[in-house]
Amino acid sequence: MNKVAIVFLIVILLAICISILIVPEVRRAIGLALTGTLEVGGVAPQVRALYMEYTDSVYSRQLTSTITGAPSFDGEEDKNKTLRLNATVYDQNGDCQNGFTWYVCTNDTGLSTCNSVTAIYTITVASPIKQYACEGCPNCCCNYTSTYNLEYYRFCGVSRVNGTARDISLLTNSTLGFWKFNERYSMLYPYVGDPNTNPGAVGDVISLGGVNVGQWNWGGQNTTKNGANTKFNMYWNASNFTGGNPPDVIPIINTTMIGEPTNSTYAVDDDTIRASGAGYIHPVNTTKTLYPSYQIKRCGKFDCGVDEDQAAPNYAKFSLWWHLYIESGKSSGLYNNSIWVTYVPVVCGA
Amino acid sequence: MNNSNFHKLGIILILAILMSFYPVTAISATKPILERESLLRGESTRFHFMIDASSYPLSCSYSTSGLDPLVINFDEQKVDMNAGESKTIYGTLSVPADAPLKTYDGMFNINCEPLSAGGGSKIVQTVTAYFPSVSVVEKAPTTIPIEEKAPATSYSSTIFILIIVIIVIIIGYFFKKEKKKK
Repeated sequence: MNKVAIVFLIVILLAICISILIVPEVRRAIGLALTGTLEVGGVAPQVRALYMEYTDSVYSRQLTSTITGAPSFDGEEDKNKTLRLNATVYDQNGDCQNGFTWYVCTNDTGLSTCNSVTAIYTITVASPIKQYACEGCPNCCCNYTSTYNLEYYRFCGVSRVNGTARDISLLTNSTLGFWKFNERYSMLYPYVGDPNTNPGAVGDVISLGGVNVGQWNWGGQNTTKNGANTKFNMYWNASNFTGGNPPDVIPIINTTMIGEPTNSTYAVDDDTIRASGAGYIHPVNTTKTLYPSYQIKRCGKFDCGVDEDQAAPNYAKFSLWWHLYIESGKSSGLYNNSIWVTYVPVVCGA
Repeated sequence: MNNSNFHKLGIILILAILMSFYPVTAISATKPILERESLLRGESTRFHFMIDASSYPLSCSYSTSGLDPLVINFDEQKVDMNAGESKTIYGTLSVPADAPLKTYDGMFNINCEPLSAGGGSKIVQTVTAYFPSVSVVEKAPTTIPIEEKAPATSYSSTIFILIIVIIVIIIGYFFKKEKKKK
């Protein structure tokens, strides 16, 4: 064999080896050839990072891949806040521009799976806000962004986002990101607001108006609404009514009331019919009355027309009435009392 | 009193007795957030929470229970707020030197009542929620050093080394043959 030919062969072999190791395009081409695919775009995109931020905030928070250390956000009472969702995607074929989908899931559906079935929001954007060169590769990185009016009261505790990128070859890749809304407690009564135009507004009067003596009276209908992201129970106590002219007392306990449960003459109710179940209230420092017997749930929609179960009855926004028995012979005039209502939130996720 | 007189008295009282609740309040607060949830004896940490007065001025006080012997001090004992105002309340949680080593779960209470005076009934609202769990530990949690692993030899690197070896063998063989010829 010719000496020159052998040296030439060695040089060519060396050049091939070095190019495989150093030049990524050659490496990719070899890789594609090895798998028998010559079409550029045959490598799936990679979702590198997911971010979330309030549109009125400068702080963007990276979502974590594990529950531990998930970034937290504060919601606001009876408000929908617009969140911006961002994602960075890398595709070594440079075709990461074929769309991105965020599946947003609450912890109510479990924390393991988040997809089109379990998501409460599916947000899709068709194209990136920016496609640019990265890691020495032209057009290999894409930034996606979307803003969404997130009903924060539907999220309590750790929640998830599944970010799914799609390339021109319709190959996809997904990444889970964890985050949470801090727990908030809010009870709005009597609620007169609107989450879009007048959030958190409450009225200043619940009036029973004129009442009859010697019988039970009902009235004071007003709306109560859970304005935050925790479920809770309500407990009640009250004092006797005082007022009138000459000064008089309308007791909320009357031991002569035969047949009435617990001798209480004062009750809160979610309808006008006492007999169908009302919360008979007792004086402070005695047992607090749990009412309603069901848990106050979280709203399920912006207008809270349904609760988190998305079905009737609505246990997140409903009316309350008052029942009061006044015995004969009381002075006329305006009467006042004090009502103590205690909200005991349920731990998120329970 | 005959029936018609009683009925007349009833009508008078219908018009005269009025029941109303005045400035009814809406309570809105956040769960306290601790800067650290794991502490050594003698250490302390800061925490904070938020209260909002939505439609009416409020006066709110707060307390904890069930956390003994941990010591909770609020920077302000009570707070008065105007309508629409939000306030962040700060406090310090301290662990006495002889506190038993365990996780403490206590309760947290916020009481709010309307500030403005007026006629009618008053509603006093209380939120009773869980205070975040606090663990008193003997040693600070140690950070596990992340072992730096040598990067795995890639498939292409192996091929490259193999080719180099083959080339060296061929060259060696070639020069040996040339030497023999000479």
